[in-house]
Amino acid sequence: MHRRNAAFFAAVLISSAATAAFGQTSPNGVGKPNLQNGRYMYTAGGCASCHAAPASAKCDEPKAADDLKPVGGRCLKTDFGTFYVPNITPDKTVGLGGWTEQDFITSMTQGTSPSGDNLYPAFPYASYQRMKRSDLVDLWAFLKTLEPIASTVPDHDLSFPYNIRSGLSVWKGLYLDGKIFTPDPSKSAQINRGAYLVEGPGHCGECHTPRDTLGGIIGAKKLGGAPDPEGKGFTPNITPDKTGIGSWSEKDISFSLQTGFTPSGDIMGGAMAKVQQNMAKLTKDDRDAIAAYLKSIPPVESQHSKKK
Amino acid sequence: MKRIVIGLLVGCIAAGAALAQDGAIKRRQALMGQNGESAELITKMLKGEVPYDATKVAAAMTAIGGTTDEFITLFPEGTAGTADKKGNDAKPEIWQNKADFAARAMKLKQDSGLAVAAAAGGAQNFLPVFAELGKTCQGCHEKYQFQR
Repeated sequence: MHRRNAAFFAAVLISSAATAAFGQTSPNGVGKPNLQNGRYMYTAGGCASCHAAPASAKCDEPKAADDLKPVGGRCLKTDFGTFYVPNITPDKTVGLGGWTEQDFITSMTQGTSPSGDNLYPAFPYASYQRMKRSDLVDLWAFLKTLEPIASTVPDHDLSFPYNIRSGLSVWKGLYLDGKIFTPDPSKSAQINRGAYLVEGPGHCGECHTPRDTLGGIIGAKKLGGAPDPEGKGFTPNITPDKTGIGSWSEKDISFSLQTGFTPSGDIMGGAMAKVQQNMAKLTKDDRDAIAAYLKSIPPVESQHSKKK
Repeated sequence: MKRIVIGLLVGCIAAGAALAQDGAIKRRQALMGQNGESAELITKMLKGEVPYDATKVAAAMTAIGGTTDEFITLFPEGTAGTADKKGNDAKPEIWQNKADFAARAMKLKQDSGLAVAAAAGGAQNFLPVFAELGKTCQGCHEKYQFQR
């Protein structure tokens, strides 16, 4: 793996100092990462759902596997080509075993690997950059407790020009602002918690917000529904518009995240199935917070209406 | 003359098959719609929007369990849907995994039976049983239905 240099160590020292100064390492107050919170973030982010092994016959279908073995290898077929989701177990050769905490934070917030390569935004770092540093530290500590599994993953198979990683610097310049989520003081603590979960770890907008031609999300249409990134349909509008979930109550939203059942008795299928199963593992307070936030955002009108 | 008769016959058979296919699609959609209505009633009760009524819950669960045997017979060849969901949203994967599809329907029937038995236990106790049935619904929708 990549040789570390003095500047890098300096960066680590500075960040450690900053971390200590803001007390961010210790949501539990004793200076050690909170593994329980790390695992919670792992669930909220749905890490295992994407970093799953592929089903034997089709790479784009995740194998029904152990959530604690994120060996990767399943593929995402997009307009840009086929992405193969990496192994994020702490294996030293093919996983994240050689990474430092700072490497992890840099990948999650800047989309850059330890070797300095740009990561493709199929890995939703444009959302993860919003995460609190303490949550990232906890998540990293949790990932390190997983079993290292030396399972290799094919290289991405992308068409030109998307196969040129350096080209992503332009994309990053446009869509990465490096801003950590800041609560809106005019909103309740509950709405702010929901906003954090939706925009940070939950990365809901990666599918539910439409993208421009360069693949950046369109802020003005936040969560207003979008063509499915894998080209199989339309990801619903989840804003409080009549073409979205305007007719749903907060209770409806929270209940659907808990059980998968929509108010009309339909069940959340497709890619949302795995997401819902993860949401069901969060606390009721957090599902309620997500619901409160979704009801508080500006309604966006979409072409496709949510099926009743 | 003979040719015309044969031509007409072939035409009729093709039209008949198309009608049968159309009928199967309509019928399976109707059954699924009926299941949706059953589930809608339950969700309303579990959310406290309408009073929990164990008799109605048991009836709704019996109704869901009563659809599965017929449902799996309603997928003749040539009735797969497409990603744009014009006509229907059944994925071609159903026909590649018919045994799995039927096994999932059987699981739903079993879940419905358990839910009927659990109905008398009240909303709090019924919720996890219903959520379990929901996972069976979801497993099938995730794999065999084009995303909505």
